[in-house]
Amino acid sequence: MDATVAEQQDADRRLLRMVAAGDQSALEELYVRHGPALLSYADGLLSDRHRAEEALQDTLLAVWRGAASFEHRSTVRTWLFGICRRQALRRLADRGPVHLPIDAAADLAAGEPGPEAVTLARADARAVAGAMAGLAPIHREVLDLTFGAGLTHDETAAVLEVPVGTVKSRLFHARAALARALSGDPGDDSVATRRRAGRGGTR
Amino acid sequence: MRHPTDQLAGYVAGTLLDRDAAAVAAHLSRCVACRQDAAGWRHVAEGVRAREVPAPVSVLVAVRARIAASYAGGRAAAPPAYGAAPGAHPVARAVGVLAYQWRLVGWRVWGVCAVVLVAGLALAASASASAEPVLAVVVPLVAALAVAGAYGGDEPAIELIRATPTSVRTVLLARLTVASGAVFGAAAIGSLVLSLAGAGGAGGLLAAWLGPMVLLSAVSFALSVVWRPAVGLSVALALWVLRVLAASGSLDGAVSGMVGALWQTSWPTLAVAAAMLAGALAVAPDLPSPRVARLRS
Repeated sequence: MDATVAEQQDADRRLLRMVAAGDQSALEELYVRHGPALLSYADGLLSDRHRAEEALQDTLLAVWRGAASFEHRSTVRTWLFGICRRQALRRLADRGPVHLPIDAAADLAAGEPGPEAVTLARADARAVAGAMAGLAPIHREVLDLTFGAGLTHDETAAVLEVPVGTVKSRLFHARAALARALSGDPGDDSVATRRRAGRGGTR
Repeated sequence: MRHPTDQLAGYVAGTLLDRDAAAVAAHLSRCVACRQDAAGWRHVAEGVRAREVPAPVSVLVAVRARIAASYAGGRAAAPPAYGAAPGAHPVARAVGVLAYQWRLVGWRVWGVCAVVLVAGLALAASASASAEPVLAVVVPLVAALAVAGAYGGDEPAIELIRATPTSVRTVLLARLTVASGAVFGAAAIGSLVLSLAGAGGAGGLLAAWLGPMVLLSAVSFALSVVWRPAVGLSVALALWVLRVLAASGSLDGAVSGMVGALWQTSWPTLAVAAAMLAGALAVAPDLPSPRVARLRS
């Protein structure tokens, strides 16, 4: 972590203290800093921009009411995404039962780069962004938290309430699914897992 | 060769520790396969970031409106009006502030206090015991309990926020007033009923518990504010146990005399209590915020 990351985290903590003291402008500053990534994350979970904005409102209100309960066990950003996730899932539950697919049972054997890296290397950002829309929410969210929110694997694991190993395997599954979507391959996760596992390799 | 395959995503996201990032960078400089793998992650990252759009102002506008609405609604869960004390008229303001504190003191605290106080009054009313010593022991204990309990409410997360629009001193004072006022009122009514029932003069009964109650409340309050409720209650309890032991004759004369001197409705006792209250109120706003936050736990 470089100094600027630490400075950002200090600034976040300062803002949250001001929110706890009843300063609305500090809440708005937090929104300016984290709003885009939060909105994109909520949108990825709900697949609906309007509902995502409502979930973001709920998140900000929860921060406004609960700022004093922040216990410094995580970074402010991790805490915000954790709240955002709960608010978004609550809205998802309103609409009906939540169907987040479970992870493929087999853990991915990490080896040499697979052919999906090649597929991905050929696609431009716009195409990747488009293919993201077709991913399962469980895969979209791990990508959003890792690359959009810039959380570490540990922090992502804390937000998702899963072990770090699961975060890593979800990332690989998500990337494989993206590559399939980009290459038009209709294969599923289990095939991708076997393909990767078959090659073996060291961690 | 050992490939840092499961670190590449973190490397591209820029979230690895400096040391790990340097090791990955060194590996990438000599491993084509991993370089290609990292390039794949980089494209994923760019795709993810391409989906981000500026956060709309409409969300903020809606949140401002919802915060304002939650104040205006006057619901139990809503904090008091932002930047303004409840009510404009001084009396309305005082009632408003006290009412907030009343809600913040958990119902369990009130429940425990009521049970102990009623049991004490019943014991004092029973023919076998003399009313005054019983009241002198029970009422101060209940007061210390209520005052310390007032700082460990049922909903710690919301409490500080509800309380913020009013100054810390006012809030603390209001809470002390509510907690000890309720105990005082209940004990005074109980004493009056006992005196009417022939247990002794009303003045004598009142004097038996008023001084020690003020002292124990002050100890409990001051330590709760400056440190934490558990400490306030513990010290008050320690004083109380000393008094009980002194009454049963288990302490030597000197200590027993000191405790007895404290346990009176007298000017020195009241002055000590007042000094403690004033001191706690004086330092309260200057305590660092984590400590203020800890008042609630």
